[in-house]
Amino acid sequence: MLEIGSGDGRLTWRYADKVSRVSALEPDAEKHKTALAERLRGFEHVEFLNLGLGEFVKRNKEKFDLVLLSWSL
Amino acid sequence: MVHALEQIHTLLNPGSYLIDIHPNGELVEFLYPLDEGKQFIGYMQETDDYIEYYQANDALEATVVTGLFEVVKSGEFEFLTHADSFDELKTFLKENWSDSIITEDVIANARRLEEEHGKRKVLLHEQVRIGLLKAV
Repeated sequence: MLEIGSGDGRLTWRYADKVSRVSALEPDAEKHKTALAERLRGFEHVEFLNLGLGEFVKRNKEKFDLVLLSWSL
Repeated sequence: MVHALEQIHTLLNPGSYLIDIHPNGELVEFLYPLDEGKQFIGYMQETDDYIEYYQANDALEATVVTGLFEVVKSGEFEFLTHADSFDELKTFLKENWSDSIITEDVIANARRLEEEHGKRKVLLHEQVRIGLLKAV
């Protein structure tokens, strides 16, 4: 699963235990830091990336089963 | 926004899904919950966020028309932000919603209600659209 604009991760933590892997993109450095700092034990399958969508698309080589845009389109 | 949706489409396997959640663009309300029901305080103003919400709707519709996505389900829900007082909500908005504007008449209404009923919880009510779209 890919979440675009994950902010400080407040929504990510609500669903992450229901999916096998999450890539969460957040271009804002401060929000990204907060998300990393608040990572809960057992959520190592969540990868937070300090990237916007455009930069991620350039680097990415995989496909996702689900993309989430929450207040980020 | 259409370009972003086109990029997202390249990241999805055919038949995979996109969930989009964004406010529907209607004015956001300040509410004061009383025993007899919610009292309307006033509307929050935004400089330009609401325009982006309408643009988001248009962009999603455009990608459906061009055949990138099909709508599986869509709906709306209430999104409430709870604060212990109007001042706390003002501080929260200043720190987290830079586009928000609280007009003087709304502040005056909130103060009047607090004088009549005492300081108590205040709600910010947004109406939010949610859509499940399938990549074609």
